[in-house]
Amino acid sequence: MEFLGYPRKDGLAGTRNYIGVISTVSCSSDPANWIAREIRDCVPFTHRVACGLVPSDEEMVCRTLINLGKNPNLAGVLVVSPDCADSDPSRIANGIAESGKPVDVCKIHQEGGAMTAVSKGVNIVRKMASDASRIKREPMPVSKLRHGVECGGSTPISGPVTNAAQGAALDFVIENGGSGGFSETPEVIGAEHVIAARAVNAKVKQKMLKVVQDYEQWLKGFGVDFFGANPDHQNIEDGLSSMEEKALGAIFKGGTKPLTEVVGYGEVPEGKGMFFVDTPGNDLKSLAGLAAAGCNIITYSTECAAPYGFPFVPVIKITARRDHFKKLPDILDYLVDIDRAITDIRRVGKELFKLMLEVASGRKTQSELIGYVYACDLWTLFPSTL
Amino acid sequence: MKGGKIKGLVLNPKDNVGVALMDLESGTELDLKVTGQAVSVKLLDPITYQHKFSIVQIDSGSKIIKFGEVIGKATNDIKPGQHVHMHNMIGLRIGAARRKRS
Repeated sequence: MEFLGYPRKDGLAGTRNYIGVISTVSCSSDPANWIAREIRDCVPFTHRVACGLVPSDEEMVCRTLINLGKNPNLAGVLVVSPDCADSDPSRIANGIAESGKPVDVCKIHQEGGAMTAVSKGVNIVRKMASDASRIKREPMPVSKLRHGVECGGSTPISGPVTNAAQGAALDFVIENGGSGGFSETPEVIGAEHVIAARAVNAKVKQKMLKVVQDYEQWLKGFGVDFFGANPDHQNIEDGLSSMEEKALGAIFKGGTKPLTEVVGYGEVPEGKGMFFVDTPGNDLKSLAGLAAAGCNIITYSTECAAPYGFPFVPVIKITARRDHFKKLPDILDYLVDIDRAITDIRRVGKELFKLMLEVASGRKTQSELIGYVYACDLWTLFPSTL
Repeated sequence: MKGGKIKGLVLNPKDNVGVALMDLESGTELDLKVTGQAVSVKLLDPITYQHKFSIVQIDSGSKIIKFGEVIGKATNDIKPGQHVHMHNMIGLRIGAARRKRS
């Protein structure tokens, strides 16, 4: 079982070969976008996080940007920043450079203004893209796949059907030596005992329970009733009656393998097997968490047909809704047949796994084809102090 | 079109509710297989696609079981075949997550 991937110096494999332009802070988004749009195979990662973060959030944002830059789907990275920004662009660039890929920094003020900075940046990424175009896809074992699993727009059917299909595909990835995992901590509230029971040891089990407990405390700390909003209006209309019911459906996407690791936001799991990443339920922030965790392919079950993908990791979007699949051909990639899923989920999972190998080898997803991939966001726990 | 050919499903042998896999009218008789065992239930309410119905008598205060796990408790007595949702059950984990679309 193999796929065609791009070899990287750190031993990882890319399923894509992009040059990333990473903006360190919200106010360098525009030049980062301008640079990226000038050169093919170059993608921006911009977000809305500003300066004035408390130290723990600044640390989390820095490590997330570093590990996004280290994602094997990026062959090179340009870090774009204003001089006045809190997060240190050199620290981020040096962190990314540990992976062995070319990294450069473009500081807007030092280059004599935005337009000269953009001009310099474009030339840097043009050279990087030229060098990257010489890297050829080669056969890679499935052990080099890291599968991120996401869900958005839960319904009572998404658990045992589309989430279970993703879970079954993740099981195949892991059975073939690969790794993968899921995220969205608030959506586990009410089902954490089930996922924790699958932990490989007491330490992992405690950590799983702790991230959920901490998330709950964090929400309660705001002093408003967040829990009245989950399940949300659409969830209730669709037939979900409690948080527990929603969470028990959500965890189907984690498949059936033991839980080997629980990591914080922006951290990278070390080993093989199934892991959990502590992220918010917001899909853009969660997708960034999965990409920072090193996922080089993502599947995403979405009964509301969430339209976006991710700039540099292919996102295969899955639905059980035949009407959506027919009506929204440029948003959804894969239809799960409900009857087949209920009678033989392994067979459906294997089919999805095969599609993942094709996509990992270069077949484009719908969101990649139409470029519906640029909305990004990062998680911070506290508001800016400025 | 939503749903498939299978009308309804019980996901785990411990469950006391089933899930409709298509819009089902009140009075529909369902023969459900729960790990090889046949369970029959006649619906007392119309059940929309994906919504839950009781497959046994559930007394007020008793646990509602789906996926083999507790998803809440009954707030009224629920007869076999009745719709199970916000009007007759509540989650246990977070007090009162009850909201209706205004």
